[in-house]
Amino acid sequence: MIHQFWRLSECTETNLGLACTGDGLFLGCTPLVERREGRFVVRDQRVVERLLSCAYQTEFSANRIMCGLATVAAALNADDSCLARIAAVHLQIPDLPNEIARDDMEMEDILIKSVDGKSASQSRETRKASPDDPKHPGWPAGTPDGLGGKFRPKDGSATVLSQKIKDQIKRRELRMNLTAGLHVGIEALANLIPGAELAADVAMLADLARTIGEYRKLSIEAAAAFNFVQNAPYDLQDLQVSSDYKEFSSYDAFVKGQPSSRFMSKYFGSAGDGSQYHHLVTQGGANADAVLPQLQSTENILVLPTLLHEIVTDEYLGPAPDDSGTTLYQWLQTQSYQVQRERGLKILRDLHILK
Amino acid sequence: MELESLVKVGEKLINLWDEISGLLDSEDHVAQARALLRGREIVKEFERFKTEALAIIAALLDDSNSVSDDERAASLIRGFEFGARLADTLHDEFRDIADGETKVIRLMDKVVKALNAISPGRIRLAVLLDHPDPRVRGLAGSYLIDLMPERVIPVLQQVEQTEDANSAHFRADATLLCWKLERKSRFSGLSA
Repeated sequence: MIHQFWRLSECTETNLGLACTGDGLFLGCTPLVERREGRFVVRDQRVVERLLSCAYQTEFSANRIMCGLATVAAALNADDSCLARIAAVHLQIPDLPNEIARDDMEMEDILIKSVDGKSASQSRETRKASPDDPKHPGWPAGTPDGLGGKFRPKDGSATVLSQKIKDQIKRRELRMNLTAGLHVGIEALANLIPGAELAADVAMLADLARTIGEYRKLSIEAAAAFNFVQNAPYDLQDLQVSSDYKEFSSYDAFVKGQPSSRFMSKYFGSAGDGSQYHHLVTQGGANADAVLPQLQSTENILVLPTLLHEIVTDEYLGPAPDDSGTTLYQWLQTQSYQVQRERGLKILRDLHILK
Repeated sequence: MELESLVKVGEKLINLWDEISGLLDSEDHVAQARALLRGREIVKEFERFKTEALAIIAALLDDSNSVSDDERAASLIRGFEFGARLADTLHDEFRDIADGETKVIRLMDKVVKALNAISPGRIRLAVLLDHPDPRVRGLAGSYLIDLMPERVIPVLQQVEQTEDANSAHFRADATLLCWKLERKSRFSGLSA
């Protein structure tokens, strides 16, 4: 008789098992217990069931594990990581079968959160849109095609940004299609699908699933970006994580909190699904070694949808204006902090992200 | 070579995006794979156009043909005009910036150096400051601003104001900023 061993794994990008960390309890890279507003909470049972059903490709009832997940959350809230780990092992959740299952689960989670976020933002939008509100303009009541009361784009910003997003999608398509591992021809493909060559089928389907997975992720990021664009251009404060000025010793401290004052300091966690943090004054290169206390501050760090963040950062990758053999990014870092900040703001304004 | 062909590749990519978006949740793996294989063909087409375009500019730099200085200068200016449009097409249509646009601009540096070696020098590029295409006016201005600022600055200001969030707009803006802060043109670094 073979006994099943239950164990925890390290939370790395390649992890397939259950991992208990200071950020919660993860299966692969997807949280089952997560931190919200400073406390650890168990994901909704329906969400857990949907995620695990997706991961194990079978209908999964979470009745058995919900109580144990609550124990893990309670132990993490009590800062008792030892108890949290023991409770996590007792959940007896098997490792994910492979990387594809892990990626699928992660995609499913992004989808769940993006749908939740979309619903929330739609309700905010309906509440805010008004024909007389210059900041959140709406179509007047009675506008044809059912547009009355809905949000109306301002001054062409949405058009320009939407085109930029489409161009960025083309760029990502070029990259994905270039790296797609599908080396078989159409005819071979059609012949393989019915199952004549099992090994080739599996390899090819794995390639296919990975690339389709990348397209699915891009699709979700595109939806987040197009959703963001509807309210553009924004005030700077709308994109900042906090209106209170606060400096952090490092980017890690901004995201995870100051290690020296773990329970006291404010921290901001991840930027959210489909979004990334953007530094107005860039944080790498020469700036990484410079003494710039404002660099990791609530004034310098903004939240942008991932695709728009890529568009903004790409603008720094072109050649420098003085041909010193460098990029604009490197040239700007030879300038003062104030010049860099003004330039960062101007790029966002020129792209119609900021007013 | 017509750059419109490259723009058409961009249209194919958007059509492919629409097609694959509709197939994301499908169980029809054959249809998905067919679409992805078509994507690979589009990538090949894009790379082929880009390689050909870069080769055209590189060929201009070959000065082994015995032609007069004026003929060679005219040829280099035509190459510059083509390169400016190519660089900005790669930037604006495909966001191919770090690899595509930069590669073309580095070739433009060589074109301008070659032009500068022919009397009366890079000032010959000034004819492009009146070019109908703002991408060409803007790039020419970035190499000439130190030579004739009173002529170039209004050209770049006009490009910066009339173009919107594209390569010509950002380049004009960065050139003006660099001139304001350091009194340098793109050529300054080349001749240093």
